[in-house]
Amino acid sequence: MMDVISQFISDCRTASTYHELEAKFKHVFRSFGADTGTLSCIGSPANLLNSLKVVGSPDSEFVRTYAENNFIRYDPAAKKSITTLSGFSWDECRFESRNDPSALNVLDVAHDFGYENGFVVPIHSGLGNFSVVTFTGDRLDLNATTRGCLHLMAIYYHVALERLMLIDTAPSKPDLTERQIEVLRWVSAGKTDWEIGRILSISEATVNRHVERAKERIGVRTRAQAIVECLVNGIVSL
Amino acid sequence: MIHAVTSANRDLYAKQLAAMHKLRYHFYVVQRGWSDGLTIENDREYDEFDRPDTVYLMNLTHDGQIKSTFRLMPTMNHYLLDKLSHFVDGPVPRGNHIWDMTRWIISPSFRKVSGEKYSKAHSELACGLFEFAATRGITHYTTLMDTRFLPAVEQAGWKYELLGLPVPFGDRGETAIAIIIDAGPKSLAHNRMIYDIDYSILFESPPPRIGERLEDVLARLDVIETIEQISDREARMAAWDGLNTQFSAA
Repeated sequence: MMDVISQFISDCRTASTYHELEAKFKHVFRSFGADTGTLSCIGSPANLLNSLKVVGSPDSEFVRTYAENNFIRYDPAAKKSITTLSGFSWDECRFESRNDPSALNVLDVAHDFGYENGFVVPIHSGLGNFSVVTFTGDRLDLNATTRGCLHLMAIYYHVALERLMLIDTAPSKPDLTERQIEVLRWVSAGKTDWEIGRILSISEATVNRHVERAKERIGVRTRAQAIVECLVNGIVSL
Repeated sequence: MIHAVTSANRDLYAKQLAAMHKLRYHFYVVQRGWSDGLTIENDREYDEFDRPDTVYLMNLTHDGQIKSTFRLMPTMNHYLLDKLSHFVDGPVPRGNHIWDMTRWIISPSFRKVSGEKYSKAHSELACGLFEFAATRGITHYTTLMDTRFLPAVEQAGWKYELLGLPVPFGDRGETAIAIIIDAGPKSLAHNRMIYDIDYSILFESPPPRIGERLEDVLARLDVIETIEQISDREARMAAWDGLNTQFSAA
């Protein structure tokens, strides 16, 4: 059991794409009898109710029904996940909200879609984000070992997703040609287009064209901005 | 500065130890409802692991207030995972080079403020923890921690292995997990890098001389710490010169 989890943890640390991560995640939760694993609501606990972002593999029809009916406002699992620190099952929610028809309705609709029981893991990450990972499946046997394993899977899946999201939002290096970089190096050294033309044995107009193209690729308006971007990204140095 | 409070120098820290037991009472008994195996006296919490071989790492302000603390003990003697062995899948870790850590507390006024990735009180203590390991030849720390801190441990890039699965504890639906953390010199280097602390932060006082007060020790440390934090060599030399003048004038 620990071997499977250890393998998944190391997969999470090395996964370089969402697709790869999701495939490993699916593989591992299926081996514990779950049919779906969904990560939702990544964000801060404060605006949880405004954000429903689903990553994973649930029935798209169910997700649509959930969103259209604004189920997040009544979902007893969503409510419980904000105040709870470890995993819990939908069965527990069903009992706790036995006097709340709109909460029970959400569980009933899920049941109608074939999601008989679910196991929910709330996660507060070290980076201040919050998410909820839900596993469903009619063969889900929620004994102590399975609960522990699902809990760990949820944690490492969340951490890996957060890592991939950070990579995604990091500014990428502008993609410049050799010639553009060469020209920008001379620009940063304070040479005029005419001087650069003489140095590289090309015309002043060609130098100017290289600079203009480079500015477009970097996404800036002035030469100074282009140089700053190149310095920051280590493309040129002073 | 992180103070290693041992049985040899404990007399110096009577006030801080009392304050730590009060913090523990507040945190574990009042807030989290723990009671099993604890001794409570005058709003202070003690348990069987407050022993002569226990070392408390205390992150203190320059006027002796507690910012954060950890409790450490060798695994060669009976320790927490012996008592709670159902958290460990396999043999309970034991060795001269393995120490156990428990009772991790950050004082409420020194917790992370919004926008901060880590609280300073925590990053200092983490560096002190691995520096303590380096000075004592400790290669690993075991700990039983609240599972909700696992993402933070992973994201801090600490090297560790899980000793078992998360297991429920207490009556508030919490779970805890036992892990063993690599505490070799590389871990010290890594923590100094991620927390941006590039100076020695650990202090272990020798047994106090008769009549020596903690205030005197803290005043000396304050000077050393100020100078250690000046990374520019010339500025540091100038600061030393200033001090020399000060001392010769006195």
